[in-house]
Amino acid sequence: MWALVQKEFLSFKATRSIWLLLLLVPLIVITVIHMIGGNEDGWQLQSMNVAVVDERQLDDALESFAARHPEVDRAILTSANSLSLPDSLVDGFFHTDELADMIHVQTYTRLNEVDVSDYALIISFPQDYREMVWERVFFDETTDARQPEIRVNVEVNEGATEVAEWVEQFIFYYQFHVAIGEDGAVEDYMPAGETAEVEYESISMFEYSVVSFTVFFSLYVASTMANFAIRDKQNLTLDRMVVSNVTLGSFIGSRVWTGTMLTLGQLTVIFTIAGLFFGFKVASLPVFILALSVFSLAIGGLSALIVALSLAYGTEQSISVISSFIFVAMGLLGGNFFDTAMIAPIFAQIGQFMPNGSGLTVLLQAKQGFAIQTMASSFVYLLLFGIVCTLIASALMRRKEQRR
Amino acid sequence: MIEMIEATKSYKQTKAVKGLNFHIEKGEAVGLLGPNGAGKTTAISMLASLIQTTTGQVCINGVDVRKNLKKYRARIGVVPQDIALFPELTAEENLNFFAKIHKVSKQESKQTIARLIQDVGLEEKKKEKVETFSGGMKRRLNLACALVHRPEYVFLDEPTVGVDPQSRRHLLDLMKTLQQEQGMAILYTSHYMEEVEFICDRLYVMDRGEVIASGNKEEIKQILGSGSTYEVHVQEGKEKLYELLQQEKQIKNLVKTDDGIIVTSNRNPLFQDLMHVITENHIRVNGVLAKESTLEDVFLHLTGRKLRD
Ligand SMILES: Nc1ncnc2c1ncn2[C@@H]1O[C@H](COP(=O)(O)OP(=O)(O)O)[C@@H](O)[C@H]1O
Ligand SMILES: [Mg+2]
Repeated sequence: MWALVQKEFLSFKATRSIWLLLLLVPLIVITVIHMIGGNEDGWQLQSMNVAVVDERQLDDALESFAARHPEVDRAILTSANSLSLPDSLVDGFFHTDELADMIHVQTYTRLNEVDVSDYALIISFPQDYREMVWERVFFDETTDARQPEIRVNVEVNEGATEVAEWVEQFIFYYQFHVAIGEDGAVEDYMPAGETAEVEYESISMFEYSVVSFTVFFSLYVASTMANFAIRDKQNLTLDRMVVSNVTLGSFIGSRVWTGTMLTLGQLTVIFTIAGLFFGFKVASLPVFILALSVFSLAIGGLSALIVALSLAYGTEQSISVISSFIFVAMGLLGGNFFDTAMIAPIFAQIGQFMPNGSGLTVLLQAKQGFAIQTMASSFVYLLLFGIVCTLIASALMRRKEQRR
Repeated sequence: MIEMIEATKSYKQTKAVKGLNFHIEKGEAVGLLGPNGAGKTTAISMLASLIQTTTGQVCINGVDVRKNLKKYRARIGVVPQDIALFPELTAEENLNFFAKIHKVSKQESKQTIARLIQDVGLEEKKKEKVETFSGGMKRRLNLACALVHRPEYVFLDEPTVGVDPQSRRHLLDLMKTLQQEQGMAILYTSHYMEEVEFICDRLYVMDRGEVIASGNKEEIKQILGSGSTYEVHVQEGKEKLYELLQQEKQIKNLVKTDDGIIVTSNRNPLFQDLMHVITENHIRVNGVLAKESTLEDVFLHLTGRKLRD
């Protein structure tokens, strides 16, 4: 079997156009995205001043809330403490690693104290904002809470709009995704049907693109290998291998391994380059490598399947159809080009059944440092996907062998 | 000994091979002759276990090869009619690959491959990609790849097509040496009669999926009997002469060629009778040549066709 794997790698080495497709094209795509993103995100390089106007302090709000709701017990008050958006924004959001260096926050208690020309962004909270949110969360009272106001001053800093969007997303998330658990503690929860990607937390558009395009181009490992197999069939070396005692098991096994190794190599090269030149970081390298390996195995299985399919039914043309239509469709559904959930959640759900879709999820999660337990089901799914593909491939090849 | 017993191969429309019986002894060189479409490649493919027989079987030392295909395949080497090499790999990489899948040990394969590269004269080209090779060079490598695991039996399906005369000679010598010095059994298929005469001790003549004659070279030639053969080059009246000769009782066989007729008789002397017919009937001839019987004549006699058509 290793002889077969080695031969595939030699063929790979000798075929320049494949390098182009598997490595150069994704790298170019990433570079281009980085350049576009770099222009838009010019603010990242400059520091930015942000003013937060908060007319009331947390303690005052708590007092007034307790006075109006004497029935509230201590536990809930503690929760309320951590449910204060203005404080989370200042102490949490603007304090994250990515933002702390660049964004300087100044707090005010009155809007008219702010010198508007100094700040790229002015976020002001209504006086009773905290209490309104608490009432909604604790008592399910749907009061028409007034929203915080965000003033954008692009002349001060080009990135103002960008950051304003992030802040809006943060506020939105806070208002709708935070609830009180049965024990009275604050819980983050995700509405059903959404994946656990929390885009604003630490994944930038660029990082999302790096992962998603790389995952997409991994599909081409499978079609590359199918092309090799068709070529071997046409130049009759496949027959020669049969006569030279290559068994079905080692043939299929070698396709799985080659596909896995090629994918792993491709991903490693691209992510390393992204890491070295574009500042792509992962939270935990071992977990990320684990995720890469599991995803690569799934693509290895897929490679074996596509090889078997093309040997049974395929021609070179059918492989290019697969790679141009089916892969692009898979890429769309799997969210490799943009987040499909934006169109309809059902697409994203279907996408999760594609190796590229769940591969993308797993890699993004690993990048963000999710716990392995959270990703376990995706890991299992990817492995199962690889195994099932391999089994179907073996069955196809066996049937073909019996027809000789 | 490898033998084919009542082997047939049917495809949807055609019966490529019909009830074929033949055998190759250990260390023996056997030829398989037949015009295009006779079923030679089909027969070799069945023998090589590349395709299955529709009915009948292939046995090695009396045991059906399907019993232990792996062991059987380790003992045979196959040189396919069409070049079967990895064009994107170098000559050496191709040889190494086939040695490896045959599980030849590293040491042994290193030696064997170095030797083979020399034998087929690809020393200077061994590090170059096969896609840059000429047809003849590919043929030589095609042969070498079948020998990396030192098989006991080698099946060669028209291995010298497109090889220049000089390296053809070289390849033939190589095969002869392998057979005579290393005791490798050879089954050889070719269009070139002189190659078969040079290499093979025994031969089978195939046509339309059947063996129509077999034996050693002398036995085969004797099919024509002790009579004589003349080649008449006719300028005018070929059809007329053909009709007239058909009525002559002592003439055993008549074959029309482009510019004349080949006449074979059972008994000597034919020449006087032949000349008599020609002059009596005012047939204009360019010449009458006496011919040695060759395998080609036998072939012509048996099938009414030339080998190379
Ligand atoms: N795979 C196939 N399908 C259908 N017919 C075939 C196939 N292979 C060979 N034949 C037919 O079988 C006959 C014998 O072919 P082949 O063995 O290649 O002859 P040879 O090698 O003597 O030229 C031919 O008539 C050919 O058309
Ligand atoms: Mg043939």
